[in-house]
Amino acid sequence: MSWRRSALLKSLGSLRLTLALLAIGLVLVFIGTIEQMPLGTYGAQKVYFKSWFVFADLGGFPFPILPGGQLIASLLVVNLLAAHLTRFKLARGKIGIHLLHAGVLLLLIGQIIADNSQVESFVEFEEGQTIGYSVDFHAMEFALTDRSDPEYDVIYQVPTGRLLAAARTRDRLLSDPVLPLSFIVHEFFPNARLTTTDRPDHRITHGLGLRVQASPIPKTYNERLRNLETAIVEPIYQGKSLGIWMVSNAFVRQPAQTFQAGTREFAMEIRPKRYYLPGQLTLRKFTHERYPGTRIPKNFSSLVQISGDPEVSDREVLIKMNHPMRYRGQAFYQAGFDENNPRFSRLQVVSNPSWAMPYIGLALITAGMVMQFSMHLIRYVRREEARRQTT
Amino acid sequence: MEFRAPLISNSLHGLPQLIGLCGILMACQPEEIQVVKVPKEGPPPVASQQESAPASSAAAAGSVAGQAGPANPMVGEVPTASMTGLSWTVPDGWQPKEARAPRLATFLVPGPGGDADFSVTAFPGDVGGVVANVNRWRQQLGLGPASAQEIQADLQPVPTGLGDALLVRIDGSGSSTLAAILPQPGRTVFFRLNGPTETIAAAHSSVLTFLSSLKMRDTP
Repeated sequence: MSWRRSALLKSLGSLRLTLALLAIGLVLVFIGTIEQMPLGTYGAQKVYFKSWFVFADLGGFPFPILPGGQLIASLLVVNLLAAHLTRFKLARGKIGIHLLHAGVLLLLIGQIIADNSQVESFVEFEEGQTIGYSVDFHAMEFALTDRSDPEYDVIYQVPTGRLLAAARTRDRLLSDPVLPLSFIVHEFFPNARLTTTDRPDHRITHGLGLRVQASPIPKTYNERLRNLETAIVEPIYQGKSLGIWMVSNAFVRQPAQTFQAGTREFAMEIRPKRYYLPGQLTLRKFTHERYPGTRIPKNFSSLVQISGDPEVSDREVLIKMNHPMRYRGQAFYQAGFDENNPRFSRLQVVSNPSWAMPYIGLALITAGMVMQFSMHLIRYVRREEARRQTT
Repeated sequence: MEFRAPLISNSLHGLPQLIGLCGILMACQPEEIQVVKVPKEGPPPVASQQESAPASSAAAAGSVAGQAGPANPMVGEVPTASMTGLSWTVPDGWQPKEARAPRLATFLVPGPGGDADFSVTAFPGDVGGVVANVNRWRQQLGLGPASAQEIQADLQPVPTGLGDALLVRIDGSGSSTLAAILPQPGRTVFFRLNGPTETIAAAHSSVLTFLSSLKMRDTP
């Protein structure tokens, strides 16, 4: 077929490209490893390995300076596929190689899917409490809640990156077709120091920020600390300003700040990002055992009831160490407890749609290697046998 | 002299430029806003308030809970008061533990009912006042709020090396809290012993000893 001989496909499948991508990957791994010191493990993974590009801030504009781990992995997938289409022949003697490469492809593709779709979050509750979401402490959101309905809340989850982007524009306007009102973002600090003061920010007219001063400080990547993302926002409803407020995840232990827009009541806050579940989880019982005479945890488990999910029948599940609950494609692991509250449980929630691919990929690689080496061995033994017979 | 193009661009006929353009375009994509409709929710979990700032509009919360398993969620950096060298004498039997923000110090206090936890924290301003903070501790012990008059009646002034602190003991079902609130210029310092009621009762005098030993570090 003539397309097999196309220059582009040959280029994409070239061994030179493979070597070039592996070399760039080596450089990326080196830089990313060094950068774990200032950025922390999570920060370095996000910036170097789980990204398509590594960006540098050039005059306020993000400019790609290096391919990220995802791009390198994707190009390796393209390279391997193109190589098979242009250079590799489907022959009995090469089945092992094809299996091996199929396994490598599955590993690469599985990792790309995981990087784009894997979510880790936590469910924290105490006995008797019902909760309908998990929380990602690594990401913040600006949550605008319409509380007008007596039974339901409608929550608009705005990534704080949108606040930052709005603050950088000339009109500082945050608006979106899905939002019921718009906001002027006067300031957004990715990290701030908040102090009570007698001389607060004179722009603020309402809410918790009236006695607080926020000063921007460098963002921290220390995994033991949290950035206090802080914004000064002005809700605008039907052309009318509803005051100037300070929102920050520093206020997360306070009730969300509320205001009226027409006949509707809204609340707003910056808080850890939530992933809402289709149903609700109730912690029926938390059991915590220690080895006798010590404070060393022996076993802890949570009896959790799933309810309110139209597609899953109500049931109780016991989650304990190394025995997660699988619910709607997510795995809920028993992750923690509170030394001071024996009724409190923390579950880690992991969703990874490609969880099986590494296992299948490794199985294919193993099978391919065994097959290929076996064929070589058998051919060698036969050749030696024939040579012995002729001599 | 014939110039041979570099290894990659020779092979890829404009692919690097295309990738660069994709990169720039990807940097410009706005993040999506999610909209969800959920039943009205109840109050947040109590445990993560153990380490939280007292009732205050200014202070942030860090959730620090013991756990066995995957990595801790990130712990908050809170705007605590700048402690310029507070010192104290640790009573016999108290064991220092690692202090995570917002705590300045943590001790394990053994006792007849089991171990209790003693913490030192400080925050800017009056952090909501005595009544609000006492009621928060009451809530953590599963008790309802008390009136300001009831709380004032329970408060006991105790002398420390830095002025009088207000001492209060709250008894829940099996657990108790013995706490001292020490107002300072521009900040408030909290000393809190939390644990089995028997241990709290037994450690009462050692807490008073601790408080009386408070002084600024450069004070003889």
